[in-house]
Amino acid sequence: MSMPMSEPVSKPMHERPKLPGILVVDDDSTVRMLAQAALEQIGCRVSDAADGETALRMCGKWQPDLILLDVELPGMDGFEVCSTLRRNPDFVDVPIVMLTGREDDRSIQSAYDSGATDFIAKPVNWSLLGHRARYIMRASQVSRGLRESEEKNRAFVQAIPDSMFVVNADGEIVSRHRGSEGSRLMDDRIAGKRSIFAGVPQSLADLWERQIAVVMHTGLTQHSEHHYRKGRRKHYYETRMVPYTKRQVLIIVRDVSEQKQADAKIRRLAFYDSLTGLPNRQSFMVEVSRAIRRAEERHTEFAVLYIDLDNFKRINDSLGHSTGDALLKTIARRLETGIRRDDLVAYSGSGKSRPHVARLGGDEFTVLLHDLKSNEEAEAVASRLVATIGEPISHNRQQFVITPSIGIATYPSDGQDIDTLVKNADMAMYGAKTSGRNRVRNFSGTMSIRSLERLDLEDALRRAISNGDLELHYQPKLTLKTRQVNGVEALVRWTHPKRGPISPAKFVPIAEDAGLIMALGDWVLRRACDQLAEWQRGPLDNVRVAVNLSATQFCDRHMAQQIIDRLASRGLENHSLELELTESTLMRDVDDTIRTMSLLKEAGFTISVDDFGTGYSSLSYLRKFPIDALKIDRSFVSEIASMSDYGTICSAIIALAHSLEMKVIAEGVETAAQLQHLKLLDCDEIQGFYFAKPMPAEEMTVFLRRNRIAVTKPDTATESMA
Amino acid sequence: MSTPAIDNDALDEIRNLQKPGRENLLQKIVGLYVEQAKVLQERIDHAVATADATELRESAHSLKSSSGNVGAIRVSALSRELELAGREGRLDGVALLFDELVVELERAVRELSLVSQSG
Repeated sequence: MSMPMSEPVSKPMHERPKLPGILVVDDDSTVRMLAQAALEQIGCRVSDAADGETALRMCGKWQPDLILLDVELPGMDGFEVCSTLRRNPDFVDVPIVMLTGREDDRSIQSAYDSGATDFIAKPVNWSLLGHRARYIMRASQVSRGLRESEEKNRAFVQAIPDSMFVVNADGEIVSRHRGSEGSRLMDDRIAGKRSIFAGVPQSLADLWERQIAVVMHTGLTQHSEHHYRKGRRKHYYETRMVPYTKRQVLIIVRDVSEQKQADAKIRRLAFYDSLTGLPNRQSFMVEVSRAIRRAEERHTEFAVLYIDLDNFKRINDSLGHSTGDALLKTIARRLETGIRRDDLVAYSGSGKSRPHVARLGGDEFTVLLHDLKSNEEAEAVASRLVATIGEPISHNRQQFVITPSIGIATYPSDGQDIDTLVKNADMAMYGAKTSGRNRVRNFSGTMSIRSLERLDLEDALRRAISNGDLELHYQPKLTLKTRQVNGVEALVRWTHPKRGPISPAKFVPIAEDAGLIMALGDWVLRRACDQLAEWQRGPLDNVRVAVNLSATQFCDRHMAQQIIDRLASRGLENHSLELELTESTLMRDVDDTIRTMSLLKEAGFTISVDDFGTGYSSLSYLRKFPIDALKIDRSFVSEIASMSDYGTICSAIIALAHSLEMKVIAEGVETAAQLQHLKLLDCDEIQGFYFAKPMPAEEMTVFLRRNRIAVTKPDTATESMA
Repeated sequence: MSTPAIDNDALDEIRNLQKPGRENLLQKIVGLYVEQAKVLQERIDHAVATADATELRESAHSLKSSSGNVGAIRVSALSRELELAGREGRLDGVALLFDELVVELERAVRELSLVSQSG
């Protein structure tokens, strides 16, 4: 007995093999006795019955392994007994051997008709009966096993959702099994066809024909895949061919549509960006490595365009991610169409590979341009993308202009492996950013170290701001005449974890470029306010702190209110905070500046202009600004004692300031000579190493305690000067 | 010398079935046969006398069958003739056949008794 898929479960060991049981039915007691003797000789248990009714009754309780049944019985005859038994499902397989007359052909025929397995002619050859019985039982067991295994096979086949066809060498269908719903389409195509080839496309038929031949000759399993479109759905099938009989092949057709769909979904998730539908970083990396292989083989060049949107973070921060996402989608489409325009002209029919557009994440995109003829070609595409992306976008009745910075790195000149290429394209993009954004830059070797350093600093600075790893130092300002401390300027200090202290002259512009300046300014303001509050709680209740405001901060509509709120929340008065602006900030938008300054002024803040003299302020405008003080840039101060021109300039500035009722503060005073000059020029306040360097808060506290603090409110200071 | 009433090969077949240590199978079979044959002879006699074809067929068939088992060739052959006659309803010549059967059966029983005595 064969069981195709599993091992039979073993029977308990203690069960002894059962002796075969035989039922002898004959009304002749000599026959019963001799049969019993003959069959016991071969190790069988024998029961007997003298008539049909008794025999049937016995069979109701017991299933013999063999029945010897006489034809001529009193009452019900042997044929009737036989056919009655056969109607009982339990007796379908039990071999029934009929005892008939030797020349009684009719009985023999009737015996078979009534379902007998075999017949034995009377008089019985008793010495052979045992062998005969044994043979019949064995044969019957074999055929029962076969039938059972066939039934099981049928059950297995029934349970299999695949469609199956048995075909001969010519593809003629010998038998078929209809599969479950999924394979129906396949079944329907082949249904009613005599040949397996009739219902399928020619190309598949050709393949199958060859495969059938291979299976026939080699016995090797063959595979193929194909699909049909039904409506909008694609049905995928996997076909296996295995040898069936010597001249037949079994073809198993499986519907793998669901599997395919799952595969596709996994692929989509793994290789595509869900927001824009563009390939993602993973996909881009694969594509670059593929491009490298291709370019290597064909000795061609390709370019990586690294695209970053300018100031995009601001959109997300101020308008929310849904707007940001909508804009990213639009830009993704523009990238695709921008590239495709190129595609139509240059790529169709030229054997060139299509450019590959991807979104790396956030507002970063890439484009791969294959088979470049020249670097200008990549530049041309990139420039066009700058123009396309930069066109105004309408969203929710608002208009947005988003510009990209694009860096180009070319294989093999700018890098021969993925990492280098991508890094250099990124660096070139960064170059585009630092040289003003909204433009294209090619990678150049000199770019690398500088840019790397800058990228590194940018990263570190971002972390420092968010972790609060910065520090404020304070430098006192003194009234020149009295040498009294008049206030302190808060100066931000940053110590890079590896490089040590970094000058603000270096990291503030980086913060500006990286969009970190608001966060930096805010941190400084909060920290300064905290410190101010601490000092004022103590005995230093008159100290005033000056903080620098960047142009970005100053132009922010909410800045004034924010500063007022910060001070109020710490119980500080507005006049205890001085705001320092640079000259260039003032000149950005004069009307706006005047409005904002007036607002701050009314609120009680002191406003001074830092680094004065370096910009190109229109002196006529200067009059219009409600400024309390001008700070002469350190470059003039440092030369005041040696170069006459600078002395003249300083003199002019001081005179001008006084005429406009502004105080003048000299920065960077380092020597007694400088101090002397400033004194002669009638400068009001001084700040510099000559008196005190910038110092940490604790030192400053000590310093302030030692030096009396001038009780100078802004108005009284102006009075005292006049 | 007349042909033996019993085919010794048939008896040998029965002897071959004998299990050691058990009662003599041949004796038992012969005993049963003799009993059956007596009853069947009476039934045939009656069937012939009453011209009952069915009864004749059935009883002759049984005697044919059991005689075959013990090798009583002549009895078996005559029983067969009678069975056929009964089946075909030809009852005209059956009395003569029956007389012959009686003689042959007597001879067979006698020979069987002898062989079964000797084992």
